[in-house]
Amino acid sequence: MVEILTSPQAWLGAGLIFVLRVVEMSLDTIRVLMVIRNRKGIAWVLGFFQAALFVFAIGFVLSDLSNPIRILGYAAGFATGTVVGMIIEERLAIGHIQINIVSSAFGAAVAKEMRAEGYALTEIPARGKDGMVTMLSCSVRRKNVYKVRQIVNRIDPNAFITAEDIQPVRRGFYRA
Amino acid sequence: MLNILQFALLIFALRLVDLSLASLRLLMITRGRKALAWIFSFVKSAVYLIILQMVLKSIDDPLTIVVYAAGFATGMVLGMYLEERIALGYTHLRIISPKRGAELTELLREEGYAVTEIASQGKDGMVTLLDCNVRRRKTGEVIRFISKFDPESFITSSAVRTAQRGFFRK
Repeated sequence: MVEILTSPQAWLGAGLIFVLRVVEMSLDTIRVLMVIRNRKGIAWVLGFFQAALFVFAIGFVLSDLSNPIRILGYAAGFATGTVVGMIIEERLAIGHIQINIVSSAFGAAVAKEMRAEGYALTEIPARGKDGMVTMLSCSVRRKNVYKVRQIVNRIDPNAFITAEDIQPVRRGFYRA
Repeated sequence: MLNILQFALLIFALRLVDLSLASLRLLMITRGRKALAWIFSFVKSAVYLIILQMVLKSIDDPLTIVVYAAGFATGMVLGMYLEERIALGYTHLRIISPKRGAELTELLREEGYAVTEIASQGKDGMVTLLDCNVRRRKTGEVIRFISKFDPESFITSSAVRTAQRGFFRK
């Protein structure tokens, strides 16, 4: 046991497994994104390399299970790769989001400011518990969600905001 | 030394743990909770390796394969239950009521839910569109309540990605 923990070779093996798994899980994240986007060619290539890396990593770890650092490397690599994949996914921010804003008093002002910033939105008069409100329906690219939130909060810090994933069906105007 | 039955049970139980962790992991990933996603992924992967090692040692025994597969299937269903129970997040409900929109709104507000009413046009005249965001855990309850009060109403639900402010009944 102590021999393993002090042997540089064991640590090298565990480190290799860790790196393999981080790369594999990152590829997996992008692959799933491509499958959702129906990009068959890229999905195939990513799937191929991911499967190859997986077989390599699991073979390596199973070849010497008496070595606990390898198991740790394998699990830690999987966990870290998952988080790396999440970060990649956030950075890529592919897709569209529908933002619903309910503003009790500043609906028109929010709409004006959003349009000035280049976003398209639809105003809907609606009724809330304490009288008339404005509902703003706004579909944007996912990477713009944070900016939209900032604009809305600047004009009406009390607005109620929700966001849902949508699939754009046809036309419409999306700010680049 | 473990006998065959104990061995099979152990694999089955570990597989349940593995799959339950897998659903929790997925839940954390979709919610963007990185630290918890890391922890669940780590434990899940380690448990999986232990199972795999045990299974590969006795791969000749058909019982091992059956138990491994049964554990996977049961664990997956168990994970679905777990996910439903935890039910993090919010649901967006859109209710179209041809006749009883105003009453329904009032009742929902009395029950403590926040509703936005939108007057709309349907095929046979004016209808009310009720826009209501509720906690996911409450979704079933609200839908049952609405269906009972106004069986004519049309209800759709969708998952809310993020919500800011607003009023949600506990």
